[in-house]
Amino acid sequence: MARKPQLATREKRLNALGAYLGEVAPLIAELESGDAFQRIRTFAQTGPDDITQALSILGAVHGTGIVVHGARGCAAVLPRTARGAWAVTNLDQRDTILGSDKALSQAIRSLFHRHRPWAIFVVATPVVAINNDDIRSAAEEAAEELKIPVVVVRSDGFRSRIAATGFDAAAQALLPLVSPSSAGRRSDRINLLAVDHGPGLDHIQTLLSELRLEVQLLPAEGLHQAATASLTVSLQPDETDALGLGLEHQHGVPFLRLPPPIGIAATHRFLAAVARATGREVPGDTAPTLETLTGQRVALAFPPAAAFAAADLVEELGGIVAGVSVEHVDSSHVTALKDFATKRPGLPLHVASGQPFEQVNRLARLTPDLFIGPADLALVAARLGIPAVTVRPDDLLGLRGAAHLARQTSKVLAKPTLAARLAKAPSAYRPAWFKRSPDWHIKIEVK
Amino acid sequence: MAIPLLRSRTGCALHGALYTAAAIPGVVPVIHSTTGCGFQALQLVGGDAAASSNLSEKQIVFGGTSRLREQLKNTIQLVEGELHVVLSGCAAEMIGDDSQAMVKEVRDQGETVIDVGAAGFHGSAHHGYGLFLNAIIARHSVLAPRPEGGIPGLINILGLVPRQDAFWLADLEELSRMIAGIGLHPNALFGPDGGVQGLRDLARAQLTLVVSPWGVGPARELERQFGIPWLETDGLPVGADASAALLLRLDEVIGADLPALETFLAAETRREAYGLDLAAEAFFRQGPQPDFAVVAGSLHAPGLTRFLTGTLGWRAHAMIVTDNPPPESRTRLTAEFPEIRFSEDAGEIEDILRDSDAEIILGSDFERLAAAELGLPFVEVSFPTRRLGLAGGHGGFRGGLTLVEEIGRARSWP
Repeated sequence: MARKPQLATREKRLNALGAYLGEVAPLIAELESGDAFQRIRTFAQTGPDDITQALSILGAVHGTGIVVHGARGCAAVLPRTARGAWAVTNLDQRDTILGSDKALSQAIRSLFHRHRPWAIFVVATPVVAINNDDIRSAAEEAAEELKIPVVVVRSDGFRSRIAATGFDAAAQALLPLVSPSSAGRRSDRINLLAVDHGPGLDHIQTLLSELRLEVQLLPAEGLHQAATASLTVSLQPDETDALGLGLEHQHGVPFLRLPPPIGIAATHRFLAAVARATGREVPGDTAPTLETLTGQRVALAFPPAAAFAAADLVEELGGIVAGVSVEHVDSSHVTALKDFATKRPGLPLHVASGQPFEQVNRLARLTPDLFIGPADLALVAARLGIPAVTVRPDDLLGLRGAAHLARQTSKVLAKPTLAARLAKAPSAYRPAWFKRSPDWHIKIEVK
Repeated sequence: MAIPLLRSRTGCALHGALYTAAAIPGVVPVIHSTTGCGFQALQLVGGDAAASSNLSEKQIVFGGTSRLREQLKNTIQLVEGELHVVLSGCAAEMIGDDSQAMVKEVRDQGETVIDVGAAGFHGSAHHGYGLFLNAIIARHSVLAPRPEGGIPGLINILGLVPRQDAFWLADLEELSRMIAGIGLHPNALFGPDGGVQGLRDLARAQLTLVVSPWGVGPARELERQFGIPWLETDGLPVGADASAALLLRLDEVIGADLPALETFLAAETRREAYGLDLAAEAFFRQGPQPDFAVVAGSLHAPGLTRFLTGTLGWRAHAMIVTDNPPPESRTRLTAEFPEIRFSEDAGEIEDILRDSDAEIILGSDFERLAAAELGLPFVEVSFPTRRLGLAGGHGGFRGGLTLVEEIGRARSWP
C-alpha cells in the first residue's frame, strides 16, 4: 500500500515556536538559524489545536461538507462556526477497539444524501490517529460511489504543538479541489485569501475592485477556478499562506506575501503592491487623522501577522505599544519581527496561544491603559480592571479598520465601568503566582 | 457501532464532566488529554480555559503520566481551589495512562484530588455529568460524614447538566427557590450558591430530587452507599400545576408536613393565574391555539409539553427528545406521550418537523432555521441556544409565565 501523504508540522516547515517571552533579537537569530529551541510549558491550559484550526478554514468553504471522524466532542466548535453541512461519526468505546470505518462510510453517505455537498472533508482526530485507522480507503470508496471528492484532512490533535499546523492541513485538503486552468490566467482576476468574512473583508474587496480587479474570495467561493487568477494575496497570512504557496507551486499563480492591510500606511502599501503586481496605477493615499489613543499604553494579543500590523496601527492612532502577545511565531515572521525590533527596541514579545495564566501575570505587571484582543483574553484583562476591547482581525482591515478601532477604543476608555466591576472578584490564581515571572513555566524542551 | 450524527448538539463525556466540575466554585478541573479537547468544550458553551496536560506526540508514544504529575503539581501551586479533579480524555485512556495511580500519589501527600475517567467516547456531555458525580460519591474521603437519617430538610438537586442544558442556572435557582420556599434546604452544588461544601454534603442529604434521567445514576449511588432515598420526576416541572405537584410529593416523601407549604403554593399559584389572565387577551387576539412541536432534552421536553397541553390546552404535533435518554426513561415517557420521538440527528429532526403540521416550534438554535423556512413562529427553549440562561428559564412556578411571555412575543400580532 502506498504511504500516507505526510504533512509537515509548522515546527518542521517554518521552525515555529508556541511559547516564548523575551527580547525579539535572539528570537530572530533562532528563527534564522533554522533550528529554534522548542519550548514546552510545565503548566498549561487548553487551547486551539490543529483540528480546530482546520475546521475553521474548512467550515468557511461554501457548499462543502465536513465529517469529523471521532468522538462527538471533537466537532464541538462547529455549532458556532460552521456555515455549511457537517456530521460527526460519534465514536464510542467499541469503535476505539474494533475500528470505525463503517461509521465513517455511513456518516459520509448520510451527509451527502441530505445536503449534496460538492466535496466532503474527513477530519481525523486523536482517536483514529492513535488507532491508526484506515480512513483513506473509506474516503476513496465513498468518492468513487458518490462521484464527488472526499478528502482526508491530516489532523490528529497531538503531532504539532502549533495549532496553525491545522491551517496547513486544511490547505493540503483544499488544493486537490482546484482545477487546472486550461485557458491561462486572467490579468484582471486575483485570489484573495481570507477566512473571516466580515465588514473588513467587504471593505478590502471594494478597494481592490476600485483597481478594476475581479476578486475571487478563497477558500469560501472561488476554489474551483483559483488557477485562473494572475495573483494571490492574503488578508490572513498565518491562516492561509500554505494555500497561497500551494497555488503558486501547483498552478503557477504567483503568491504575493504581504503584511495584512491593517493600519493606514499598511493599507496603502498593500494596495500599492497589488496595483504594481497587476500592472495597475498605484492609488493615491489619503490619511485620516484619528489620534484617539494619544499617550495611552496599549497591550495587544492577536495572531502574529495581525498583531505586528495592529501594533503599527496603535501607534498611528497616537498610542504607545506596551506589550504584544502572539499565538505563535515562525520563520515567515522574521521580516515583521525585525521591523518590530527596530521600531520598539527592548520591547519583549510574548508567544502563547490562549494561556490566560501567563497573560494575567504579564498584564498585571504591564498595567496597560487598554487591552485589545480576543474575547477570552479581554476578559482576563478586564478582571484586572484594565479597560479591554475585543476587535476581530477582520474589524481592523483597511481604513475602515483604523476608524473602527479608534471609535471602539475611545468608547471603552471613556467608560471603563465593566472592567472596574469585574475586577472586584477574587483572582482564580494564587497570590504566589504573581510573584513569579510570567514565563516561569516555559522551559526549553529536552530532546 | 457508533451512530453518526448530522450536527450533534452536545459535547462529549469529557465536556460534560468539565462543565460539571467547573460550575462548582472551588473545584479545579485538570484535563488530561490533547490540547484541543477542553478548547472545543468551551467554544460550545463559553467559559475559562481549564488547566490541561496538553498531551503531545511524545507522550502519546511513551505515556503521559509524568506529564500529568507535573501538570497536577503545578496546578495545585498556581490555581486557587479546594478540590482538584483530573479528567482523563480519549487520548489518555487509549494510551493506557494510569491516572488513578498518579492521582493517588498526589493524594498521599495530603492533597484533595480525585480522578474521573471521562473519555469523550464514553458518550455525550450528559454522561460526563454522571461520571463526575459518581467519582465524587465513590471517594468517601471527600464527603462529609452522614448523621443518622441525614440533615433534616437537606435536598440534593440532580439532573441539570451545567452549561449543556439550556438555562441550567436559572432553572436550578428556581428549583432551589421553590424548595426553600416550603421550608426545606436545597443543596444546589452549582452556581453562586454552590461549592465544594455542597459536594461534601451530598451524602448528608435527607433526600435526592432527580429532575432528569442524567441524575439517576448518582442518586442510585447515594442510595446504595448511604441509604439516601430519591425522588424522580420525568423532567423539570413547568408552571404552577407541575411545580405544586412536585412540592406536594416532596412534602409527602419527606413526611415533614411543612407549615410553609400551603401559603407558598397559594401565593405562587395566584401569581401564575394573575399572569395568565393578563396574557389571555393577547393570546385570543393572536388567533386560535396553535398545534406545537417541541425539540428539547429529557430535562425540558416533558415539562414543556405538559404545560402547553395541560395549562394552555394546545396539542402536541411533534415531541422530539434529543439527548438519547436511557431505556427506562424512554419507556415511561413513551407511555405518557404517545407522539414522542427520540433523535439526536439534526437531519432526522428536521424531517419530523417538516412532516408535523405544527404551527409553532419550540426548540434550539438548530431549529430556528427550519422554523424560518416553514414560516412558523419559534421559541428558543433548548441547547444550543443564543441565550446565556442567567435568567428567564422555563422551569418551576415562574417558568410557565416566562414561556407564555416568549410565546406571545414569537407569534404575530394582528
